[in-house]
Amino acid sequence: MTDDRGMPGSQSDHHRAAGSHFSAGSVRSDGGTTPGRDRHRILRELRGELARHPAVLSVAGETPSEYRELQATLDPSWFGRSGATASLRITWIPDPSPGPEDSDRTSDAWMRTPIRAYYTVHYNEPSGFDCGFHCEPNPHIDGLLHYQKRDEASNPYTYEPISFDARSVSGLLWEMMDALANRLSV
Amino acid sequence: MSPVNSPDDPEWMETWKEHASAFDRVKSVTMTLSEPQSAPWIAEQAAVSANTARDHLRRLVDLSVVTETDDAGTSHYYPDPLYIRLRDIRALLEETTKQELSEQAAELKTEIAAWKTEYDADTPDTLRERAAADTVSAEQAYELTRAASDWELARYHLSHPRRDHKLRHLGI
Repeated sequence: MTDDRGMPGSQSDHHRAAGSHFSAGSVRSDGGTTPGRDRHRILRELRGELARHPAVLSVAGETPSEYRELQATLDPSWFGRSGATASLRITWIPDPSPGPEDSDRTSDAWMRTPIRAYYTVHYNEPSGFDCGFHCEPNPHIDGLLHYQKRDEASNPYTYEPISFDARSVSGLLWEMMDALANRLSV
Repeated sequence: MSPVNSPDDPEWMETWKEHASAFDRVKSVTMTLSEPQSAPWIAEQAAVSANTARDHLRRLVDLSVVTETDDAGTSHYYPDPLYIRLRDIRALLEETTKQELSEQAAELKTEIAAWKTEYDADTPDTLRERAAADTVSAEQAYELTRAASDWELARYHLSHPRRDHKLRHLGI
C-alpha cells in the first residue's frame, strides 16, 4: 500500500482554492488524503444529526469503517405515510472539483444552493414509491439541485428544480428533512 | 446565552433547535466545515449568538476537538485533524478484529487496483484532472469525480493504522 498513500501536495493545486492556506498543508500532515477524510468525517457527523431527528428510528454508516453513505430506517407515520416501514439513503461527496463549471459545461450549475458538494437524500418505501433531493449532474434539470420522485419502481421519475438556503452542511440536512416532510405530506 | 429566537428563522431551523442543543448545533456546524470559519459565521448557521458560539468553540478547542487559527486578526475554527484521525482509528479498532482489518486492507487494495485498471490511472488526481477536460460530458465528469472520491476514501482508510505493523506497535 506504500505506493498508494496520499502524496504530499499532489492535490493542493486544484483542491478548493478558498481556505487552501489551511486545508492543503496542515490537514494533510495526518497522512490521509484530505477529500477522503472529509467525506467520512462529514457523513459521520450527519449520522449524529440524523439520529436526533424524530422520524429516524436508526441510522448507520455504510461501510462501518469507511462511510460512503448513510442508511436510515424511518417511521413513515411521522410523515403521515401509511406504510409500516421506510428507509432513507444519504450520500455526500464534499469536494466536487473540478466542478461542472470548470469546463464551462454548465455555467449555472451551482445555482439554488450555496453549498458546493454532490449529495443525495433519497426516501424509499417498500411499495415502490421513492423520492429524494439530488445535487448532482443530470440531463433533466438545468443546474444540479433537483427533486425527483416516482410512485412505482416501474414508472419513470419526474424531476423539478428546487432550492435550499442553508449554508452549513448540518443545517442543510435539517432543511432537506423538513422539505421531505412537506413533500410527503402532500 | 440563550439561543437566538428569531421570528425570521426558517421552519427547518425551528425543527433543528427543537431537537439539538445550542452546543450540539455549534459543534455540528463546525465538524462539517470544508474550510475554517469565524465564530460569527458559525453562530449564524447554528442560530446562536456570537458570544454563545465563542464559548462553545473555546470548550471544543480546549478538548482538542476543534483547532483555532488566526486569519488577519480573526479566529477561525476547523475540526482538529488529529482528533478526527484518532476517533476513526478507535472506531475501526472497536468494530473489527485484527483478522478483519487485514481482510479489509486486502479488499481496499483490490478496489484500488481495479480503479487503476478501469481508468488506466495511477492516482485519483488523474481522474479529477480528466473530469475537467472540455470533451467530457457533465455526466461523465460526475462519474469520474465520484470514482475519484471513492478512491480517496479507500486511500484514507488504508493509511489509517498503517494496518498490521502499526497495530503490532500498539500491542494489539
